[in-house]
Amino acid sequence: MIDIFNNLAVVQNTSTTSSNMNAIIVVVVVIIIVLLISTMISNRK
Amino acid sequence: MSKNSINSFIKFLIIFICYLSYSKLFEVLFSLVGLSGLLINFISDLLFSVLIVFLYKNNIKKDFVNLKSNYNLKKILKIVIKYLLIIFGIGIIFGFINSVINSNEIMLITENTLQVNMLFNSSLLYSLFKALIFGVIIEEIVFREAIEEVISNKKIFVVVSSLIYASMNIIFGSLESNLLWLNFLQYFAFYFVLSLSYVKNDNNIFIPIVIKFIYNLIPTVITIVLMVIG
Repeated sequence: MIDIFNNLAVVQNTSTTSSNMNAIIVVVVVIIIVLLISTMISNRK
Repeated sequence: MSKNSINSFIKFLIIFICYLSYSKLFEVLFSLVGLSGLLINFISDLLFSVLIVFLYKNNIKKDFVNLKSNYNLKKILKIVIKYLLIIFGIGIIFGFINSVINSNEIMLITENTLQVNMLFNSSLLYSLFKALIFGVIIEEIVFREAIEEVISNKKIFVVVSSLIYASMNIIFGSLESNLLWLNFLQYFAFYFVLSLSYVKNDNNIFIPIVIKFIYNLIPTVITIVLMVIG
């Protein structure tokens, strides 16, 4: 079956490897920076 | 930035960090008393759900009142069918691209969907909770209602909330997959449509919740039927 019906729920894999953990930290930091910049732009008068 | 924006930003940041860490935190805490397994995951998900509903109870109440006064069943059905058709269209397009790029059938399922399927084999009840309640209600509140409080500009909100939610579907899987960017784009497109349904309908969280519930119900029913006959 091709991936037409994805289940849109995040399954957090708690047994992630350390290399994956580093990637997660990088993604989270990027997300926070993007969110901060977006908030600043969004609230600019 | 106004004081309200800073407060909302800090509130979301705390919720986001809690969302990323609560599973691991509870796993460690319960392992100290010798408890582990899916029941612990269920309890931690449930506790996080209670916290989120408590934090956003006023927003939920406001959206419910708005839904009751401005929407009827026919209107909701029309909106849900419209957005479901768009999401199915996106699914078909990406499914087709996937099948063209990769002829290996196993690779046609994203890592996250694979993990959801594995969860079904471990515990049906927990999977139903995760796919139809937690994934639908709690994640929608965290990744839409909470982000909307931070980003007031609708266009920026639609793009950023979809980016964040799509990233969450990708980072817990294998990051070495050749189809990582394609999977990411697919999730981004799904969430972009759901974010649009939210902003186009008075920022009412119940609209994407209903759309996502029906959308998730289809693969859930297919998985259960395959398990029964299989």
